Amino acid sequence: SPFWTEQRYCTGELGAGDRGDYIKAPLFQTRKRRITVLYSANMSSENQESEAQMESGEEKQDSQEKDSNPLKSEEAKLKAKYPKLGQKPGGSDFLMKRLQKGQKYFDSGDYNMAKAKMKNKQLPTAGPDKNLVTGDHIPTPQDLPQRKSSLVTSKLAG
Amino acid sequence: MAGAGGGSSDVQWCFSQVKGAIDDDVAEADIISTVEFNHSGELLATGDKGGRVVIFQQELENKSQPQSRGEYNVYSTFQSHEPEFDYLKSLEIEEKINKIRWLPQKNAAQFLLSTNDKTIKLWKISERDKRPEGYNLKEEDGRYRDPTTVTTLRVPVFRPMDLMVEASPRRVFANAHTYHINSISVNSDYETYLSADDLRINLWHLEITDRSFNIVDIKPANMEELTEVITAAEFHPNQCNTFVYSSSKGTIRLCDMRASALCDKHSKLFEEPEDPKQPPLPLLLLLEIISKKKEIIIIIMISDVKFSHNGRFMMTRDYLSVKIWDLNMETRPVETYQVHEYLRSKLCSLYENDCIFDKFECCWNGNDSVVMTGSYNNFFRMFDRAQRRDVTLEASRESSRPRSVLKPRKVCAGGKRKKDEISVDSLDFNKKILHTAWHPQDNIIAVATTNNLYIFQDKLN
Repeated sequence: SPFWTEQRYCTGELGAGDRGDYIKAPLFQTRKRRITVLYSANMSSENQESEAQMESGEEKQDSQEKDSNPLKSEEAKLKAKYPKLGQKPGGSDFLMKRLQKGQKYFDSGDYNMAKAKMKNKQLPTAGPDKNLVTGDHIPTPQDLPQRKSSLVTSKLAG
Repeated sequence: MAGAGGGSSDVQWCFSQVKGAIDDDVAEADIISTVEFNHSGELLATGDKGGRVVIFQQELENKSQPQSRGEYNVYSTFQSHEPEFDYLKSLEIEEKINKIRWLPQKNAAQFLLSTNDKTIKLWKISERDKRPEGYNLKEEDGRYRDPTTVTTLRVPVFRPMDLMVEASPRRVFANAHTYHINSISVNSDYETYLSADDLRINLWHLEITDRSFNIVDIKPANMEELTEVITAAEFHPNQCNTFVYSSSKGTIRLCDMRASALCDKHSKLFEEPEDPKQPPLPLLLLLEIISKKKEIIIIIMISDVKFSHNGRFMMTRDYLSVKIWDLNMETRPVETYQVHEYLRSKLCSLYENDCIFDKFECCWNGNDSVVMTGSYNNFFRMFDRAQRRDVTLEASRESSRPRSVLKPRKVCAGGKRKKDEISVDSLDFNKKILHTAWHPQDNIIAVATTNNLYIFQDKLN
């Protein structure tokens, strides 16, 4: 079964079926988030309707350029659907991402999984994309992108 | 003040110089990250993502060219910060120069503070135009002479040499910030300065590197309760006890260091109430999926805050507008200028391409009559406060002929596009002007595009 599919984009707690004590986060943390609603099994059917409405609301927003408050109406709609919004425990993900900028993780789970998969002695080395340090290949210190200071003089001074 | 910032309507801006490479292939290290004039305006410093500082010096005015003020030429360049890796925290520390602030000149040398995400450095830039010659124990090339071969003695003398400008780090202020430094500001007492990161502000003495005072700490005891971060901070220009800091929630807090050692409790809180009829602040809805929960964040980030030179006003820049606040009135700004109102209906796509997180800066002219800020498509905007007029100009190679007057630009929000107008959908969002600076006395401005520095002057007749 796919082990860590959508959770790659979640920073919630790891459930019982996950890899437990491995702390995992993508090496590069994009700030992108999907605005559309992801369907989850625990949601009530009411939320299913809201998903459809949400998407049509976005379409409306795109077409009505003349609407003076395109976002205000969208906000009001969402607040009506989810009255408990804004009181989410667990902190703001956006702010946490900003604070954790620059954090790099070595995923020991990936490392051990890839190692266990290999029947042969030959271990996979880094492919052309050296920035991909997680996944199937086993990272080594040599694979990590080298950060060197620029020895070249700034072009402004040229 | 002779020649100090006139109104944007009667000033005609002309191209003066452009620095940097012409090619479109921009190396990441060449991206300009900060621009700052010194207190006299004679020096102009830039910092880039590669951790390098380049300082330009204004040449003395040329009598044969009375139509223009002196040109800025390279004075000194040095590597200020290097990339680092904090192995203990698994944290990569960028060498990008976030801010440069000049110290007022006290002697022949110039001093500036430059900072990256974690470390602030004090650099001394000094000139050397003489060197000693005629040592008894050293040859001219530096080799030591055998003392037993010395038969006569002479007095070394200083002889002129070609001007050499040296930059040396005099202080390194490190290890005081857990989070990323976004601002530094020199105090008017010329002895202390503040540095601000996302959650804390520290007060340093320029002579002391192993200690700093923490004066603001907004880190909650439980990080899960975190609701806002500090986005910018600045000392008052002449009250050494006063400073302000802006937050990601769109508020500005003014603090008085005489009130208490820890300034968590503000003296004044500047916050504009939401207008139910039309939101004056840019609202952006973010829908985040955390497991099975949902959250809405409203982001009204203030990206820059700057006091006026006279210390009576402060200016804040948020994503869509520039606001001027009277320090005596906390309830609302006294002036609001729309920078690119035509983007209000595009906020969702600007979120998709990450542009919504661009941190635009703003600046005042010398006599606080005009304010300036950047926009997209290499446009920048000036707002004349007294005459209530604004202008949009462009920093481009096309209008780069010496002393050519810049033509005002106009963006067409919708409907029929007139000739010479540019439509919103044609704007290049990769060409953003985040950093601008205004000469402290004259009408000379420095505008940084991604990797080029443009210098414009007003037309002298």
